[in-house]
Amino acid sequence: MEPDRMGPHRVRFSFDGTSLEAPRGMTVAGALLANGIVSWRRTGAGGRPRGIFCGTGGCFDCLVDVDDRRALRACLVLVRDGDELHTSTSRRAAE
Amino acid sequence: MSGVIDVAVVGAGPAGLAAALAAGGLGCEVTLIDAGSGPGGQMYHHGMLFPGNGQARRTGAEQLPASLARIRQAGQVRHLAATSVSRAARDHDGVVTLWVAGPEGGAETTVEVRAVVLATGAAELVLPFPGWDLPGVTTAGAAQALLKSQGVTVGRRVLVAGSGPLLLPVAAGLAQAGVRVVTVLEATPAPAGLPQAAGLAAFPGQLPEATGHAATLAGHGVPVHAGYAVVACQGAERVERAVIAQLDRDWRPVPGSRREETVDAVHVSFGYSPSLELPRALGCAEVQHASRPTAAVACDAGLATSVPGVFAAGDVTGAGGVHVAELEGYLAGTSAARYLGRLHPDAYAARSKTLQAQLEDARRLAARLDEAYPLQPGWLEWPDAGTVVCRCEQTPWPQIGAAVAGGARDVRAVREVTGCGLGYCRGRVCGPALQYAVSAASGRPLAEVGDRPASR
Repeated sequence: MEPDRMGPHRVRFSFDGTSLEAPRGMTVAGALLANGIVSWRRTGAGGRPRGIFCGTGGCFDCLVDVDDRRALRACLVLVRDGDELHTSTSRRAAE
Repeated sequence: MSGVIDVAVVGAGPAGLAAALAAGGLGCEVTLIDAGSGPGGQMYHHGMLFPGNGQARRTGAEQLPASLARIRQAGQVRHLAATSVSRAARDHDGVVTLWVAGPEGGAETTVEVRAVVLATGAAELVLPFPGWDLPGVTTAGAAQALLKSQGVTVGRRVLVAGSGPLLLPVAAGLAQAGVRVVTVLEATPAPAGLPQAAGLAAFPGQLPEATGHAATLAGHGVPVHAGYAVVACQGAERVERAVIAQLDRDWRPVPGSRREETVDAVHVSFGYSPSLELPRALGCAEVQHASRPTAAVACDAGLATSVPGVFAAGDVTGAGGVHVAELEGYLAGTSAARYLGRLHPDAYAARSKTLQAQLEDARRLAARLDEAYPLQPGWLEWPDAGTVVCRCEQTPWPQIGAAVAGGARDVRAVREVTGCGLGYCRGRVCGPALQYAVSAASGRPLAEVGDRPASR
């Protein structure tokens, strides 16, 4: 378990270097949307911005890098205290 | 994990919960496997229940069906949450092996079972239009899931568009959460596009729900327009504007009817497409929908698939909604118990007869709803030369027609030429639109151009 730096109700994390907070227990997608962020991936060809689309783990559009774990589905993975999230440009998804 | 257990139920939505309860109640040892962090599926988001978010907690609690509480107390049922089945195979002894892993992939473990109930549900059917890949454009179901389970919204000024009975509840939920829903756009023209006219008059029990959503929307000043669609979205880093057009009966935009609306999110849905990855891995036979670019698992009256020991329930057998799903879950779970010899044939006959009679009524309503919202070919005019049809591979829309013109006669051939449907999602998102487009371009029936996606 991560140290409980934010107390029982909130977590602190970062997205592309910006420090953010969210209620504990949210998915990465939920935590980013709660902070007004809708895009956290760039497509390999053309660098088009992408964010959440199907919301159920099926479309693989919402891929995000979490620390050194690449291309995770933001709609499924829970955000943790201290997570460093980055815009994903990975070509292949973690499955 | 070691040892072969009785039953695996894959999917913990209404069908899977009912199947697990039925099989568990008949003495079967059941493992319930679901990608969600709690039971409920897309229908009953269990809510994250995180402290400090009353909205999510309240909506979660309101949605809890009795079966959700009972599943937690059922000693016969082991629940593997946040777990996906990546592969499945059945050996000559009839033992089915499921390879399972968490949402981050990594080390897989196996579950070995004698019987399986596939309750994998359905994905939303979406159709491509210019700008549909911009951030802020999501499925209607995604908007609902984010609101129910996370207590968050994608935008503050939004449109809900597409076709089908999901639009009104999604829009009503967003309006209640304080989102400015500019309008709801149902592509099917009035009066068929209005729920009251969708054959529901014969089912009075269904009317209060539909009229309840309509009343909620009216109370928030949200107009519902039938015969309209979002035909394009525009913006740089996210959707900033949506182009709305009136449609003729075939869903072709009426010339001169286009107008722009400033929005920060658009939520679209055109119905459902059964999730067939796992049934296909096990070799289950399918049936093609007569008029929609979707297929479903083929089942007998007891919900046995073509593969012995493999049963199916819920939207994977043809999207029929929550009532059909629950009844099918009970029936499939009962049939699995019968298959394992835990139920006397006479007792099975009595139980299944009752469930099948109830199912007949529920399916009649589902069929009426299905018929009330047919896809119309005019949507083929919405995409432009810059529209991607495959969100993963970013296949340009014109390549589909060009491939057919070049001799590709079915989805498989078009996929090989264009790469459409070969990306991360394995064609889950673009598959129905591709099948429809190939059918239209080739002049061949849906059933003749569809196929199983290439495996990776």
